[in-house]
Amino acid sequence: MHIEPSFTKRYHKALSDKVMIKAVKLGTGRLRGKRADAIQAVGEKRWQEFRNRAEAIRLHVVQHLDQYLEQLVDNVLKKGGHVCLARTGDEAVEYIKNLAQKKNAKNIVKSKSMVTEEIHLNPALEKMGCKVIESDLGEWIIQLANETPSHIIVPAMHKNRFQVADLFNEVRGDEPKIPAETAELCAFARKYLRKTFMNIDLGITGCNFAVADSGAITICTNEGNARIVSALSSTLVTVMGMERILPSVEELAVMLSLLARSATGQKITVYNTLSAGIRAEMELDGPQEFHLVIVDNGRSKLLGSKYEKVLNCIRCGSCLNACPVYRNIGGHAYGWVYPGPIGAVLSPLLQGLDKYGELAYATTLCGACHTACPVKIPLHDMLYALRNDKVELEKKGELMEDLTYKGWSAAFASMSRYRFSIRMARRFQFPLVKAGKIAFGPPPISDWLKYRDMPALADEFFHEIWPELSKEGKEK
Amino acid sequence: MGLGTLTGDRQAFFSNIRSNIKTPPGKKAKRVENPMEGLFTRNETTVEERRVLRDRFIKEWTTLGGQAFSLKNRDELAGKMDEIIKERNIKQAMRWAHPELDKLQLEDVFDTAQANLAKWPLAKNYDEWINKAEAMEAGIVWGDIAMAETGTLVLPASADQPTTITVLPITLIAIFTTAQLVDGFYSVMKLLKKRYGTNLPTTTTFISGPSRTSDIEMDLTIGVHGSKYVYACILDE
Amino acid sequence: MKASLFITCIADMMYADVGKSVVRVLRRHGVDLDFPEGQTCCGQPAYSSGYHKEAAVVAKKIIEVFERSERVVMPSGSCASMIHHGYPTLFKGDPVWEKRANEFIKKTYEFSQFIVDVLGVTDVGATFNKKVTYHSSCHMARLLGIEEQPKLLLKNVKGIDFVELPYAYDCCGFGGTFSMKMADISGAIVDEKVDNIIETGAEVLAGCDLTCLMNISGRLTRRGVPIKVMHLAQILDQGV
Repeated sequence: MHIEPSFTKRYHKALSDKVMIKAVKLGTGRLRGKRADAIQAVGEKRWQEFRNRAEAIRLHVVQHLDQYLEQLVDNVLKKGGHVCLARTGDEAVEYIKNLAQKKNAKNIVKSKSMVTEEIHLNPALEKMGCKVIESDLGEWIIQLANETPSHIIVPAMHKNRFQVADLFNEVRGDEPKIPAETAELCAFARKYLRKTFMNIDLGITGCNFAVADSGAITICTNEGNARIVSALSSTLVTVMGMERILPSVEELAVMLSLLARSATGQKITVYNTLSAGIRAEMELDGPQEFHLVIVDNGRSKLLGSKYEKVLNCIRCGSCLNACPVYRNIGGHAYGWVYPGPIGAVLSPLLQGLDKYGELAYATTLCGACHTACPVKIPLHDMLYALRNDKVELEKKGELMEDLTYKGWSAAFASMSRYRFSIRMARRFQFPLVKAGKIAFGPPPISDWLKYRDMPALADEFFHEIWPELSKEGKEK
Repeated sequence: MGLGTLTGDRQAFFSNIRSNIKTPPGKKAKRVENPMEGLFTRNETTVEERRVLRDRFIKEWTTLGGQAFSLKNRDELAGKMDEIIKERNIKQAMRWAHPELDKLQLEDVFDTAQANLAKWPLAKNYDEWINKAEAMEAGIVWGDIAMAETGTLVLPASADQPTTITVLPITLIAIFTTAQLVDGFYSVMKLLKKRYGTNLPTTTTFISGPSRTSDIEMDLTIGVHGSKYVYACILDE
Repeated sequence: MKASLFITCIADMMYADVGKSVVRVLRRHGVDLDFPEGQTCCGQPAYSSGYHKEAAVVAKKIIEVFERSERVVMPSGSCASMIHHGYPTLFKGDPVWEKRANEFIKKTYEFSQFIVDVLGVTDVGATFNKKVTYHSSCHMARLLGIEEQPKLLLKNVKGIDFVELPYAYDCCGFGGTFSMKMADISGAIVDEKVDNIIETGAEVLAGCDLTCLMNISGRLTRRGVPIKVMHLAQILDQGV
């Protein structure tokens, strides 16, 4: 899929796609409504206790990541699993490609994993001639459409059922067409995908949480696709971002409770599977060979930085639903794997400020993301910090903007210069003013005026009427 | 079981992480002691409390789209099983080789209903059992731990208790007694820790209701990959 | 009680009437209000755009201007939260200014917060016979935690028919330079807000943040919607 390099072009394209915007508004609206209901059921006070606890758990883990990862690695090895420590996405892809080749894997079935999107695993495997099938319904839909996920939890949120029906009918080829009814579409997906589950050469899953002290991997799905993949793959690969780890099942209980409520407003995800090691003696299902691929891919440079807390993220997607910008442009406009506020922070941090720095401006700074975050990532503060980095570290503030703020700073640091400038502005605004407001004007206010009127500068500034007001007070 | 192999430069991987975690050791965030404390209720010590939990479980499980029944004895269970077999038109089902299920003589119920109940393992080799398992219309398991707060079955797998039975068939039937009920996550995790320490079974599955998706237009649809019909039969202890 | 008014640049330049109401309402409740010379802007425009050095120059000026004030009141939630949340970032680790900024922060209040929490007044004795709804500004609600105070003051106005705004906590789409940099997204967001306001059937939209109000009212007039937009202070100054 071709991705337009300019954010401006991407979001304009998004804004013009009315079908997509409608679908995204419906989806995010539903999700945040359900999340709000779930919080109400738990009680606001207990919810905040949950968040505080979760934040403390994640912070501890991130600051002791070496310790917990080493423990996890040792436990997985001890239980007969293989481990790949991949410093880059390419290293991870290379490892999985080699494995696929060794296993002569033709039929590869995957369950939803954001990190595999991040490292571009599917195209690499497909290039080798493997057939890669996404088993999560939403992921499968966008795979058929040759697109990328537009939402962390609901990957095909941007599509409506008619578009889905078209994609499915293409797969059906000469078979009779199925109507655009959700139940029938789902029934078809079940039947079609079930066939692919029966002879998996290589299964690939993501990881919601690894549990360090028992070497277990937790995967949460509502559809039950991940557990089909892990039960029926004799060779199973799990790919995890290296921060997705918890000390023990006790912390896991807290995170699972938060994840489901934040993501979809459920008390718990329908299927939570804890898998530890390979098939035991006498067992007939589960993997005979297990590979855990732990991916750094830029995460380690965030450790110890002012952005460290972004590694708290549990990929629940609630910041997306809370974000007014996401709700109005959808996920693809963000240009990389992670959309919404978390994407606006993660993309420049992992992929470079030069490439994705403009995402830090794709926000109204309303702070809804921070309030929604179950692990209390200060996304709002990070967006400010990224803008500052862009100006100071990169020296890539635009020239006009540099001059504007230097001039502004000089004028507004002195009362007389401030008052002089606004008086000048008032004197020269008259050609634009009609009935106390401005409706047309030159750049940059033309951008504002595209959608709204602007009040004219007042005939009398407050500081000009103060002497009079001041007297009014004394008379009393 | 042999040790697994490690690929990648472990030394370099971890020294890179360590050098980046610049936080001075004293200032690092401490591990949260008792992370679950105060977040989950745990009323489950007496039989009466567990009967309350049974009602809670039934409510949650039903809300999720499953069916759940409180049954006084084995006869009532047999009657209910017969109803389910007819309701779902089950011709063949499979079950865990669990001692508690052995006691219930479910095979008799299936015989009377002119259906077949197979006991795991269905065959020794994968190519044989996978097709047999896929053909099964229902899977029957013993609800090892049942969490009332969320309406969740906690099912640790073993050679006799494979996950496949809950993975493939469109209908899932879980049988357990009120003695298996606990209140919330706190008790489940403590129980798992007590039973297994850190040596967890190959798979432990938490199942809360039928398989569901809202991936198309946020329209909730039941049974996309996993079980579409889920029954919980709860016997009085 | 003595207090100083920080009018904020936007009110100074465009909304002198709001300033007038602020002064009158506070005076009526015994506040001896002064207006320190030298004040300009809190520094938020530069800060939000990433120009921290430039923002700090202006912020220092403001801290100096109000150095001798006992308390500072501002008719803008967003500017108040710039002081409460932006200044600590700007002056973190600065041997002189960190302390001075903290002193300033401690005595600075948003208008409705000052009336309810400092003066202890929840009914200002105003009368306003209109159907009114309230937009909860983001920084004020989320960063300063001021959610109930303005609504309490409004509900206690005689004759008022107060209706809750659906999705009151959703952003209006202003976001400072965002409204110009990404005007098309901003326009889409403010339209959602306007639709929600229309849905309430209110005659007046009230708020405590002039930039949000400027954004919303600009869109209302552009769409030809005859709903009046007022700052809380203007309503509290009615019928007394």
